[in-house]
Amino acid sequence: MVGYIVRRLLAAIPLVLGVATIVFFVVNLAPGDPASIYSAPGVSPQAVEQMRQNMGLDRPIHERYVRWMGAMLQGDFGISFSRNQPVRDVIAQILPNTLILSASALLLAFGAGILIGVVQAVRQNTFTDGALSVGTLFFYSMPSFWLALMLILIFSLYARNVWGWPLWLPASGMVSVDHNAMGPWEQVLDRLRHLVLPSASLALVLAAGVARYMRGSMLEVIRQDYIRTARAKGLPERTVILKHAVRNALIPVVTLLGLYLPVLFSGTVVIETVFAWPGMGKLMVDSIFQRDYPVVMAGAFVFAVMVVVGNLVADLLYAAVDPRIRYE
Amino acid sequence: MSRTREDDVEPLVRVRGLKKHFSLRSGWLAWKREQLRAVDGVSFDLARGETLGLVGESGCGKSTTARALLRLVEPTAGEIHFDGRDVLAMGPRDLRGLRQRAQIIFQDPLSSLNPRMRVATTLAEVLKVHRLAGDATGRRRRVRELLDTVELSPEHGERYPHQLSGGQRQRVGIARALAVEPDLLVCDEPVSALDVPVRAQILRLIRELQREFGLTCLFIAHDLSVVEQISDRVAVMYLGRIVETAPTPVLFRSPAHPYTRALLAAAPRPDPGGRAGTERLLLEGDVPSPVAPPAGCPFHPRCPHPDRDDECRRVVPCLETRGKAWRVACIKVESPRSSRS
Repeated sequence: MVGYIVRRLLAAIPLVLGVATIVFFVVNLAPGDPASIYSAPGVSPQAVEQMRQNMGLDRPIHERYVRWMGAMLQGDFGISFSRNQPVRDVIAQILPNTLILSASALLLAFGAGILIGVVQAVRQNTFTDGALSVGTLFFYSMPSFWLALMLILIFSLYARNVWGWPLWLPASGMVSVDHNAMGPWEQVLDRLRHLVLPSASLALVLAAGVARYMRGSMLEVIRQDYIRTARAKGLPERTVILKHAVRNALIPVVTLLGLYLPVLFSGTVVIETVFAWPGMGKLMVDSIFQRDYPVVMAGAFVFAVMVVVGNLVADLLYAAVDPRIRYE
Repeated sequence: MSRTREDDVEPLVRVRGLKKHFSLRSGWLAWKREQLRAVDGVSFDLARGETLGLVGESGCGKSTTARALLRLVEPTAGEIHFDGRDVLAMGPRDLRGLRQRAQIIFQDPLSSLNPRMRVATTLAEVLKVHRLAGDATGRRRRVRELLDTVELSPEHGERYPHQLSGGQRQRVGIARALAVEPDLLVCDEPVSALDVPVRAQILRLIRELQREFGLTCLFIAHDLSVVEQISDRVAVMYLGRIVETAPTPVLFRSPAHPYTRALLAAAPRPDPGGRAGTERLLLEGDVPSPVAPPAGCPFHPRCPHPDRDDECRRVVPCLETRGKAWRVACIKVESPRSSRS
């Protein structure tokens, strides 16, 4: 098992370095000159040239690549152009915010999706099944940025200003302006309230996919011989479904975890921007607009590593839920 | 329900007019509804301690009969009485009681075991739901006992089904069925998924356990030699109906129904000429679809009987008594003499 993990991680190294290389060239060959963005208007050409030299942008691209790669392998991602601090510190500061958002979205997506899928399968071809199918397909086919805007409209804007609900939800940021003045419990509640809409926007689309998948998987398992055996044993229907059917139906759904991670991370780019969530996605978007090359490259690298590790975790989970699978 | 004084002779299981029809939808947009008559009016008794062999071709409704008997599928019509109690009227609680007295061994031992549960867990679950062996310690002891009964070692309990061989899996299936100490054991082709040498071991085990626990058995198979070894009495099914039932020696020596004779004639046997009436009888055509069974006798389109005529096309034959515990559903078989041909 440990040997398998080590082998998988070793095999991931060329993959991650390949991603880093591609990102380096895409970013550096794209039009746009960081030096001219960061210099004040009307500055002399000599000053801009000096700045370009400071940023190392005057060197030929292959030389810049070798230098960047060498530094990165030693854990040095360079200095952010826009923030004037080491990229590593920027990411260390911002990564947890994205992890919180992604983890809660993932939890919500799989929790809700599995529940809906099970209900649909148990009530196959009934009105409940049909209604849930329509509902999940509705969310499945919706672009997440539009869903996010609609949620803001309903649960923030109208809920607060038009309908006057006491439970409106904040539409931007991770905490309220007066967060520091709150008591400890209020602070927790404040953070949770800010988490609801962004994670729901991310999760709903994924949950719909999980539900479709879970429904299919459940329907397959329910027809299996061992479900009939479980009934023949005299187990109550509840136990048959929850203990025998759901646990087996979860096995293929675990694979979705690995497949959904890239979808989730690219989702954060959009959702964090819409909700002004200070995470990796928003950092990437901001850095791209500001031609902050080191941050963009490091961000893409971090995303790649997270996807690789996430997929490894999904594969290990697969072995954990299915005793027929052993990694040597 | 009327019951006489003679409780001793009352059969453990009484099945009358059992039917199971499946609804099929076909045609464009599934607008056509059709009935698949898997079981179409089956009646039989199972005396206590008796083993009834149920034979017939694939798709004749043997397994559906067995599953309907235990309410693993809901019958469409008919009556089932188990030890004098109406099985079809049972609610969930009574049904759990039934499952403690009537158990089933399935055909495919791998697919009928939960792949995510260790053998011991699978067995202990039965004990737990029926509150049989006390606490966890008692259950563990009983599981070891059960494994021993089916000639497995305690270490097999720690394995998953995929880590066992076919024969071992079926032993687990048998242990699972025996865990509740049932009165009735339904064996739904328990050896047809197994290799020939393993088959003999499992059959021997079933026979031994049957004797040891005084089990009443409904033994389903399509292999006649297996049925001959294990049953006291045999019922032959064709297209959802029983066409002949007789004590095993009678049925194998002097089959009366043309279908039974064809079935016996088709079976390979090590000692040709050992049985009477063994001329080669090849049936023409295929089994008709149970969606549109033929009118009259269901067997008439393929019947090799020399006297087959229009009457066979019209009259649905009933099971008529022909001898002691011997009943045949064929209007052309009347006197015992005519079966000799």
